[in-house]
Formats: sequence, structure tokens, C-alpha cells
Amino acid sequence: MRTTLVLAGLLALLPCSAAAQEAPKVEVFGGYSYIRANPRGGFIGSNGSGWNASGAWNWNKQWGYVADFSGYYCCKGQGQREHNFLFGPQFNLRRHRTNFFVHALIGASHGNAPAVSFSDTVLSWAGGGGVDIRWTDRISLRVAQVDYFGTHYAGTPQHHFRASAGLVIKFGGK
Amino acid sequence: MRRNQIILAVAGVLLIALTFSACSSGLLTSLFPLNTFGGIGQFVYSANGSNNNASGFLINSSSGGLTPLAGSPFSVGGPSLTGVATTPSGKYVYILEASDEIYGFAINATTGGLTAVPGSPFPSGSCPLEVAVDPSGKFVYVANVCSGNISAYAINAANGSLTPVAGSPFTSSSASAVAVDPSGKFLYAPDGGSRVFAFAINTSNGVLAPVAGSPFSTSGCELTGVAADPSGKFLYANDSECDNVFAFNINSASGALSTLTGSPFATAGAASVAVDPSGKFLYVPDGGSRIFAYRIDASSGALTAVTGSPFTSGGSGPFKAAIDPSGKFLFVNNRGSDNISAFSINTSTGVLTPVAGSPFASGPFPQGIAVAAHQ
Repeated sequence: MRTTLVLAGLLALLPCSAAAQEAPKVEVFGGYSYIRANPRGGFIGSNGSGWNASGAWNWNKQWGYVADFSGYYCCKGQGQREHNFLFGPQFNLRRHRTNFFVHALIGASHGNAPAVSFSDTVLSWAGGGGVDIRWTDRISLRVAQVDYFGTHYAGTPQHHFRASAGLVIKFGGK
Repeated sequence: MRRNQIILAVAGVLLIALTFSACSSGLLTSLFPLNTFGGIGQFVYSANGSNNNASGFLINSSSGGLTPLAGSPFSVGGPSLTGVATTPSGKYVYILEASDEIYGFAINATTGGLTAVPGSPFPSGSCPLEVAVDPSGKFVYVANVCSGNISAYAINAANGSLTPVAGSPFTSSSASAVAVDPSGKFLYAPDGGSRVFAFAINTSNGVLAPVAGSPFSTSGCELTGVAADPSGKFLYANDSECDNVFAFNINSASGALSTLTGSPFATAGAASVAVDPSGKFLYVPDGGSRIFAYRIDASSGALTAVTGSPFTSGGSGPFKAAIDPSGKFLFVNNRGSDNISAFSINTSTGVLTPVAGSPFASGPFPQGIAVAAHQ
């Protein structure tokens, strides 16, 4: 009996805890980002560190449009750097304190390795998602954003993994 | 409690990220494939005398620093490696092994990795000590110190394999080194004593014929190295026992040598000689801890010490010097400290300045060193 009542109580609470949070008009993210690059072409995959920043403009509670920018730096002694500019839609599943999101992005990447006079701008794309946890009404913590990230150097696709974490600042509300 | 959990979650994510974010280094790791452009880099190869392998490095075109190549050191084979030379195209490298063999490798233009050419290794004479490739990239010549002759090979341009030239080996008497002049018409080989043997090269088939008057005698004690200046006017040979550099005029028609006024030029140690691509400077590792630097008089070929010379090598036992085709960087293998010293060259003054991070660890007892040009 007692168990049944407890379960009933939990079920009764569920709609409240699962209640969608309001959708801000704009969400700006900034934080640390890591890339595991798989360059192919005879080169060895590398770990790169850098940053990730994005701005999301939300049409409604579920859908928004994202502009995602990132920079990665790698490979001691070579000074390699890559800057990425990606754009695309994002779907949000907003709950009381959390926002689960997924996105599909496409854009361009610029790679530069001055030690060997390499510089190129290529097509790039990303797909993935993450989770934000509400800290205050205006600030959330993006505890994880993970993406499959693709580039197209040397006429062939490369497939990478990236992960980011940081702060999300929210503006406006619906 | 929830806020603390959030903090812990974020800290955990960052810790995991930092664990993976340690900079990739040491190998030819990359964020992207660096083969969009032909000839992405220059490489340095050092033949390790005690470990049957060759160390390979990527040259940082800005700083001159060296980064070990993926797969380095590359297994070569045999008990002791000596000389190493690359083709002007940068496509092939040839490494001598004291058990009378010459190994040939194709150089991967992207990674600098080495792949044995068909038929490698190829037999040489006894105790091959030095190797040179002619400026056309068609022929390889090996100085065999024990058998006292020069082995000559034609290079297969398609795959780098070697075919002995008709009549090879060519007698020279205890050849300790070998160099081809910039015209590709003449080959010079000191005998490890006081003489320099000179040959005319048949540029069609690589056959060697003694130059009239060869061998050319000096007052030297132990001539162990030789280098021609890029103009083809002058030849320099180091005397490693009596600490001199002998200088010669080269007769452009016959290849005959005549002693330069002022020769020999005294050093305090002379393990080898190298001339920079501009022909303005001569560098002499002393085999101890220093590198002597000289300015070459463009008219007379006479040597005058560069201000600040000798320069500390940064290692022990500097033996051979290799200069990149741009003339910006000089690399010296230190046999006593198992590393490669790298210097930037002041193209106006010839002054050597160690690059950041120099010296760079190589394999044990690096005997030979060569720079591979951009392909």
C-alpha cells in the first residue's frame, strides 16, 4: 500500500518536473572545446584544444537557428590552428531545469599550419547535441555538447569528434 | 545540493576534456592532411651509427626547429650506418651500411616516411663511408674507404632503385669522402691522406674517368671530407688530423685542381666541410664541440673567419653539417651526445644562432646527415 502511494505520488509529480521551461529569445554559449581530429592522408590523428561559441535564435520553444564558431590549436612545434564557422537548425527539448538539444550544422573551416606553409578553407559540417542545466533564470551550464564534425580537406572527407562545455547566457523569453 | 551537483558535473567534464587535450607532439600529428600542396615540407635524415636506423625530422620552415617524423626512427638494417644523401628532387634518400651495402628509400612527400626502393639494399664496395648524388639526380657515388674505390650507380627515376654503372667501382685509393661539383661534370674524392682524386663524369652514363693530373697532392695529413662551392669554381677539403681546410681552384674545362693562394686555412679541428647554397660561407664542424664558420671570397675563394666563429655546437662531437636549400638553416649531427644541433644562418654575415629547442635528440651515434628538399 505504502509503495503504491509513493509511486502514485512520484507519478503525480512527474508532469510538474517535466514541465517545459520557457524558451529565451537568444542563447549565447561560450566555453572550452576539445577536438579529436582524424586527418587521414597518412597523418596521425591529433588532440586539439580550443574554444566554442554559438548564438541561437529561437523561433519557438522547440526550434531555433544556430551560428556556431570554434577554434582549435594543435601539434607542438607546428602551430596548427583551425577555425570553423557553422550554421543550422537546432531542436530543443526543454524541461524544468534542463534543455536537451540536437542540431545539424554546415559551413566552412579554415586550417592553417604555418610551419609547412599550409592554408586552406574547406566545406565542413557537424551533427550532435548536448544538455544545458539551468543555473539561474539567465544562466545555464552547458555540461556537454558533443558533435560528429566533418571537414573536406584535400578533396576527401575527414571525420572528427568534438566536445564542448561552458556557460549559456539567455536573453529575452517566450 | 543541486547546484553543487551541477558544479561537480561541469568539473568532471572539464577534467575529462583536459585529460584528452594534452597537446599532440613529437610525431607528425595534424588536425588536417597537409598534402593539399605539393612539397609540404623539408625533412632532415640522420643515419645512426649504432642502432641500424635513421632518424627523420620535419623542419619548421619558420624557426628551423625539428619535429620527429611519424615512424621515426626508420629501420635500415645492418650493424652500422655511415653516410646519407638525398636526391635533388627530394624523392629518394640513400643510406650506407658498413657491411658493404647501400639502402635506398623513397620519401613520402607528405609525411617524410621512408619506403624501401625495389631491390634495396644494393651491394657497394668495402667499408662505404660517404655517398653523394650528382646534381642531375641521375647517379649515386659511394666512397669505399677499405676497397679504395668509388661505386657508381644509375638511379631509376621512377622508383629510386640503383643499377651499377658500367665499369664500377672506379679505383681511387682509400676514398674517405666524395663530392660532385655543381656542373655534374666532375667528382672529387680525398683519399684520407694528403691527396684528392678527381674524375670526369660521363653525364650520359655516369662512368668516371680520371682527370689529367689526378690525384692532386697537398701537404695535408688526413683529408676526410670535401665540398664544392655552388659556382663550381672552388673545392674545399678538411684535414681532420692537422686541423686545416685545403682550398683549390677548379678548372671548369678539365676538372683539374690548383691550390688557392693562402691555402691551407687553419682551424682547430676539422671533421668535415659544408658550403651554403649561396656559396658565401663555409662551415667546419670540429669534431669536439664547435663549428668554425668562414666567409668565402667570391673572386679568390679565400676564407676569412666569420665574426663570432667558432660557434658552440650545443652538443658533443659535431661531425657533419647539412644546410637546407634555402640556406636559412644548418644542421649538425653530434656523435658524442646523440643529437642534432640546428642553427639559423644569418645570410648576410654567416653567423650561426641556435634555434629554439636545439639540440634535438636523434638515435645513437648519428654518423651521416642530409636534408631532403621539397618535392
